[in-house]
Amino acid sequence: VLDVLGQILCWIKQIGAMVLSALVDGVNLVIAGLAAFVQFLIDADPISFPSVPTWPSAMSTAYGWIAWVFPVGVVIDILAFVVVAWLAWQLVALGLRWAKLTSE
Amino acid sequence: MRRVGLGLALAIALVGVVGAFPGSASAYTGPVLPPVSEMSTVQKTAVQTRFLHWDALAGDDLTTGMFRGAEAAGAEGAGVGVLGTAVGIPMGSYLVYKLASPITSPFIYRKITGHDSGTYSGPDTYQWRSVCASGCATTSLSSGPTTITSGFVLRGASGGYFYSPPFTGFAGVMHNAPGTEYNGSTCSSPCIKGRTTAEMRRQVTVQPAQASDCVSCAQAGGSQPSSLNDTQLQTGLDAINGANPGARDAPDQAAVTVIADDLAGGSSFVPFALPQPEATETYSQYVQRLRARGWLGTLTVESASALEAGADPASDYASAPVHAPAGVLVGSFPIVWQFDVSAPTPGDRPDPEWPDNPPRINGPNTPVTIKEKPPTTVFPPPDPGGGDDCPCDVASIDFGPLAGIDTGDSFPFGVFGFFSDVLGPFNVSGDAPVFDFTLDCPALAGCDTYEFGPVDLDVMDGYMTVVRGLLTVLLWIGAVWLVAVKLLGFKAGGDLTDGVDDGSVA
Repeated sequence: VLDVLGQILCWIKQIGAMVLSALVDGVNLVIAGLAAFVQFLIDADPISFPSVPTWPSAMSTAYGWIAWVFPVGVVIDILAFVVVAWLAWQLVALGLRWAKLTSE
Repeated sequence: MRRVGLGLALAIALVGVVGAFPGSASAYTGPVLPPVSEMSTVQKTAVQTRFLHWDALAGDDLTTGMFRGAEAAGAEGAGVGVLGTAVGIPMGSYLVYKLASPITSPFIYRKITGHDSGTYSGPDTYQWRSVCASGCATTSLSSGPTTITSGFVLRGASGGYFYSPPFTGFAGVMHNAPGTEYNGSTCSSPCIKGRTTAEMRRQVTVQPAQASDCVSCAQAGGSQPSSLNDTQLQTGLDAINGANPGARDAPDQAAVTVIADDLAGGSSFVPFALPQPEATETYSQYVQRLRARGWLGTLTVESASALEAGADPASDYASAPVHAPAGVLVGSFPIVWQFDVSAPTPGDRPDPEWPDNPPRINGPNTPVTIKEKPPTTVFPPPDPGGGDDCPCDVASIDFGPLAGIDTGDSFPFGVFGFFSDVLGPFNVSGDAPVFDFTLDCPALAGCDTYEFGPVDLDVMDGYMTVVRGLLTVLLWIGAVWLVAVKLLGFKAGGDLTDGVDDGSVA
């Protein structure tokens, strides 16, 4: 008898899990649809960045020599860091200003 | 009169000799292979095996001929038909090119551009790379080959390079083998040694091109089929003139001779390199593949107890199917593990996943031992959350589609990719300058021109590494200060001049 009751309880649990899974599947479909729509908009964009020209091999050699003396890669990393940090701060500052405004 | 008779006899003999080889195309008269439609299933399988596994053969003529047939039959898969425009990859101090696909004939030798550096230390993946642009006969490298005029490089999984200086065919292709020789003479690491045509060609197929590697690829990669139909087999046999001995060259003849021997039930076993097990393959499926290649030896199956005891639940071993071959031991060769218990995550696949020179099954009776993932495996461990008797799995939210949005080069969405492309060439690893120069001697001194060099500054590598390290620290300090003070406006320190002693305090 306990086994039968246990099975019934299990079915009830599984029905709940299936309903929840169906909801999650629905959310996933919405996300997938949103992504597909965004991808469609991007693909429909007629304007493209220009292609980057290929450097002559002599320039590549020169870059290697420069990088041997000065860490050019670090400067690029720092540039990326500064840009990201500045953008992040702009977002945070926006939120803080909004919070300050609403508290007054 | 006797002279005339002798001359006539010689002329007749000459005509007879020439007539025996119409068109003087070939001196071969046999064997003649039957059409595929007349072959038995066993014979067709034998031909198919040869075309699919031609790389196990030895000898340039034989591998060249068999590959010719295999390629015509489609046994080399649907590779990229066009060697598309390559994508530049910073490699050492040079820009090299990763080719779209090296699978189809004539392989990769359409592309000879760029340079290679002997100091490359990038990712350990198989990637064809061109060595040298035209007109770089005096290219000098700080290690490895001193002069490369043309050819290609294949980055090896264990470091070093596969290359061909200059490229005249796969017979001249080299590969690395640290500690051995380079071009017949001793050299410092990384060193390289000769590589056979078959080995090189097989390496070529190791790395299918990725779509992202190609600019004008017709297809994103190639894969070898598992079987060939009658039409394919016939096409392959026709490509090596199986029924037309007079049109054969030496590679054709070598290939046809082996196939004819197979069809006649002759020596069917050809030594071959141990193939890598597939990710989802059980050991019995793997053994079937060995049997298909003529191996008849004794198989011993043992439990991979070391992995069972030491593997991580999140490792590759844990997710492998039951009975998966975890390690293969051939004769007296060292065992080749599919999963490495000493990996950072114990049980993950080793790096490289399969050795460049795997053990060879040299005879039909060579014993093989396979360490399998046992049926009593404790992997993967049961999920402690749901309970085995009543699983209630709920799907998880998948943000993958959003993360997978490809902005490509569209404006303005692809701005980050664009700037990455722009800045990429600048972001190269340092390479010591190597140069030479000439000085014109004054005519009054009675001399002509002095040539100096090559001057190689790599003797200062150690110092420059320290200098770059210090510069890196200083640059980062400056960057943090810049962000904090100029961008974020942090000025908690006040005016530093406030602390100067102006003498007002006794």
